[in-house]
Amino acid sequence: MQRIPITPRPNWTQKIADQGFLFYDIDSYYNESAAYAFTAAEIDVIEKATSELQRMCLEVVDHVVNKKLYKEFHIQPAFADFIEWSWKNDNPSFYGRFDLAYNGTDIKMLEFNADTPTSLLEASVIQWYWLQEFDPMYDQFNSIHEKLVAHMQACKQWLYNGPLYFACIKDSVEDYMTVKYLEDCAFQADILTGFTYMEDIGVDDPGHFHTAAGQPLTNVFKLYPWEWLFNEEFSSYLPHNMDHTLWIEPPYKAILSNKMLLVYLHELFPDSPYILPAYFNKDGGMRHYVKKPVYSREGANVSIVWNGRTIEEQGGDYGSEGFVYQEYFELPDFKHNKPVLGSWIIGGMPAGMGIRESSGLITGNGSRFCPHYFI
Amino acid sequence: MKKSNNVVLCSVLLAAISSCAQKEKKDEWIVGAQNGSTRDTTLHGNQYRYFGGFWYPLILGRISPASYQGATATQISNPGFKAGKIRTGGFGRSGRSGIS
Repeated sequence: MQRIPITPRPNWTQKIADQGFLFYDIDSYYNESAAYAFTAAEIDVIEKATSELQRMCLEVVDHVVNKKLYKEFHIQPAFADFIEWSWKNDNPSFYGRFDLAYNGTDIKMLEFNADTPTSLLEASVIQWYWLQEFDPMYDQFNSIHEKLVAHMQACKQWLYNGPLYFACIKDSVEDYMTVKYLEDCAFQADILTGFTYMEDIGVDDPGHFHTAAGQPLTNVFKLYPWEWLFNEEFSSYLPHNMDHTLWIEPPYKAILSNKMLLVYLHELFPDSPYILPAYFNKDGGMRHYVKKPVYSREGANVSIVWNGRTIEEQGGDYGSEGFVYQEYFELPDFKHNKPVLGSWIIGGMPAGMGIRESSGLITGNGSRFCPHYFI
Repeated sequence: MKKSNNVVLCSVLLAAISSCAQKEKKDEWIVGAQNGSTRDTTLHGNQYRYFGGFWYPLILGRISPASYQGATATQISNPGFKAGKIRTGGFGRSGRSGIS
């Protein structure tokens, strides 16, 4: 793996805006000044790790459901049946993203963004079009778009009657364009689609979900985390509507998107080369570790401890459920740019990769997206 | 080859790009005309307008499918019928941008 300085394409800002990447300049998220280069053998290693991690994560879900470990995952008992129902019925899941550390030799899973991953459009579309101009002879670990459309076609038969609505919060261009890209893929998969904001989802007198235009919501893809849904006013209607509304990502993703997943991966697969030791609310004797809130996003409230001393930390308002302590794994450093690989799972299969790099040790809102290729 | 053979973007995304930053049209109180005309009825002292296959309470010449649940002709003919309300705002208060 190498980091290559590149010359931005002429008029690149207009090009990526035309492809829907309207949030590229927020905190200099994308500036097309560097790319990462891999060998085919390295990509094979990443793909194999992603596939194996997916298998292990699903085994954790099965373990949690069978042992009813909801308390350990800080999930309210009221949603246990809802989660189990979605797991046992194998409700459709479109996607997920593993964040991996890779130093050229070892790959370690840092976390699994299983429920509401973003950075999708840039990984699937933007870097693909970049490569067509940079050098179309090079390959790229990226069949995300093709796999999304094909997988949605396969999922179509499992949807309830009615359109598939795509939902996100208001006032976030990134979230809006992410769900609109997914809606575009569904449209290409010949699925009848619609859009609603999360805030506009309504409930009628019998307790069924509706759009703001009064249409029944029978299928909803929501870019909105389950742990938030479980704690909001309409949460009690979720299990009540199992037979009326199908949610994608499915409710069992509440287990996979929870940092307690790291603890149970280590417990069930202590010898896996991809899993770092992790413990709940204790350091387990580790001298160097990353302390992460059970629920946290974009690196919020994450701190890194080296030899008992905090060397980097981020603020935020997460952490009330406790913390997971994960062994520290050093990211490669390319002149103060530290990449984390976002390895995508589409329909349970490895599908591609997007890279975000940070100047600091914690990958958060200030990270930058870089395209990649391999030879 | 591990990359997509082709990446085609269709009308959904292109429309989103052109309309970005504009809020999606939210149907609140609308006339509810279909093919340029409206179809109303009065039952048990209440006025209703037919829209999208259902009857909605007609208030000051407008209806609100966002606020009221549509009803069938059989339902509104029942003397004790009361239009069902749709409540919104029960999701979304935890929302922050840049999810993960």
